[in-house]
Amino acid sequence: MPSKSKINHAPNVHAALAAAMSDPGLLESWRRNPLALRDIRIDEHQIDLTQIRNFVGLVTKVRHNDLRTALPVTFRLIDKAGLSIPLFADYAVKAAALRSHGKPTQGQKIEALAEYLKGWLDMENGVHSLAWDVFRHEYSVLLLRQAKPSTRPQREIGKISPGTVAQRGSLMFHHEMTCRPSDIEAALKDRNCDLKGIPRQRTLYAYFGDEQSGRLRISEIDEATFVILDLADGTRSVGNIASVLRRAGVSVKDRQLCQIVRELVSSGMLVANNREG
Amino acid sequence: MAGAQIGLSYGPGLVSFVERNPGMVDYVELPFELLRHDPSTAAVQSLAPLILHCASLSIAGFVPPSKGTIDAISLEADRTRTPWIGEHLAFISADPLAQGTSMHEPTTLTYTVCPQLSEQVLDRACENLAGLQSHFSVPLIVENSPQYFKVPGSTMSIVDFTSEFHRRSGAGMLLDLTHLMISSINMQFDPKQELARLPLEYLVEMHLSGLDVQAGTAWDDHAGIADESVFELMACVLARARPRAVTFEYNWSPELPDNILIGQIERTRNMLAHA
Repeated sequence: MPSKSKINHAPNVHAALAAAMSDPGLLESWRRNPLALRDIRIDEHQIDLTQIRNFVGLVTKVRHNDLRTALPVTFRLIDKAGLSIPLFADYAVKAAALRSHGKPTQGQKIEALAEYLKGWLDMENGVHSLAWDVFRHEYSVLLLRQAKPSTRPQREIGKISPGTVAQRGSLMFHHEMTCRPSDIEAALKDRNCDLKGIPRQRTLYAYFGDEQSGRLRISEIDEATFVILDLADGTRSVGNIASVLRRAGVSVKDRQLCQIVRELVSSGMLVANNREG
Repeated sequence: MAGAQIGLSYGPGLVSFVERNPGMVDYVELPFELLRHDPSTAAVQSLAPLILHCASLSIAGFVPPSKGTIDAISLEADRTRTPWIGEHLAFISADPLAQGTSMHEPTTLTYTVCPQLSEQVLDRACENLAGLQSHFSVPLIVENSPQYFKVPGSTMSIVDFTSEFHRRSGAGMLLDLTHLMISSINMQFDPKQELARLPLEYLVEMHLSGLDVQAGTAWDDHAGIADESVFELMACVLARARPRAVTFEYNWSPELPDNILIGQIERTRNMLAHA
């Protein structure tokens, strides 16, 4: 046990630093109540808990280095933008909780980080929204690359009628971006780039596996397709989707939407289920 | 090793880089902890000689490493035929907190931490080094820590602490130039002025990596590259001393383009040749 005889006795200081770094929850409790440090003979005026917290952010970031292969541009961007230390400092408690159940897989780490990023990033902030764009881009590509190619024989597309239920493929992701992710990647090739120089424009994308070739496809899609993909959640028939669109002021007939859905099914973005009866 | 050698630390892009660029690096620096966790990494020895780096000895700490760890390092040092073992002037393990009944077990981190910069720790570090050295067939050389925050109870600067450690212990110096630069930014000192006070007669190896300023603090960044300020420090060192090895620590990301890395290696080789 560390000595209780002196304030800031070296073994005691090391014990406190190590405890705070290994248990981000304890560090947070000291930040809320620095007087608690007196109980362990540490002068609360001599310890910079905010900097220690940032150091834990560095350590947590390093623990996620194995994600750099899967999310290279995301890491380059958050490093370049000065977001990675604050992000991982805030994320440390959750990351520690995830580790407490055993060493997480790369997939579990990315999934947990995705969930956290969604709430942490301020989408009104230009750089944060770039980070969210590129993260979703790389995560979607990763999931599609990891997916096993379908062994099902190619199904003939049946009749698409207003009663057909259209559903997004289980490995189809559609995202609204504030830029083209390829522009972020191109810009970050220059380590001295100015992130403000990345062209910004609202762009809609669908990420999916081509049913026929099994290849990953990234398509820039139009507004109508994006909305249809949004609505095709497996609970609505094509007729229902057409009604929703009409109520929103879109002039579309059931027959027209059947044709559009047929094309989306053909491309691999949607799957169609014809209800019995 | 004859003359000054240039190496890379083991990381995700290392093997392919060495295979693509035969003869570009003289050695690979391999962390003992990685080797222990994944013995297959030793296969890199077929590509280049190894230098063993280590973070487990807690030289500036009060909790000694286990006998098992010391024995394992000793075994790997012999097996890899490393010319020395690099270790940090830092701690990785600490006593449990004397709070409550047994709120915490003894704490072992997975990364090294800058110690309290005091006479008490200095004495302990010199004792630890002497005790540990007897277990190894090759010298331990010791690396300066980066300082990210003031450690409570410290009574001296990181440069005074590092200098005194080498003078008192006689240990070889592994000078991490980026750590020195980081400490200078965070503790607000002039890196060249402080470098001039370091006892470079103990210099054996140098480390270079990137640094990243975020949240008002400079941080180690092994995904980035050493910038001009680090190369300027290297030039200052080479005006006074000649290391036996210079290691680029670019081991966090597989992404560094070959042309950038080759450019830095060739620049360093040129600087060493003209020193």
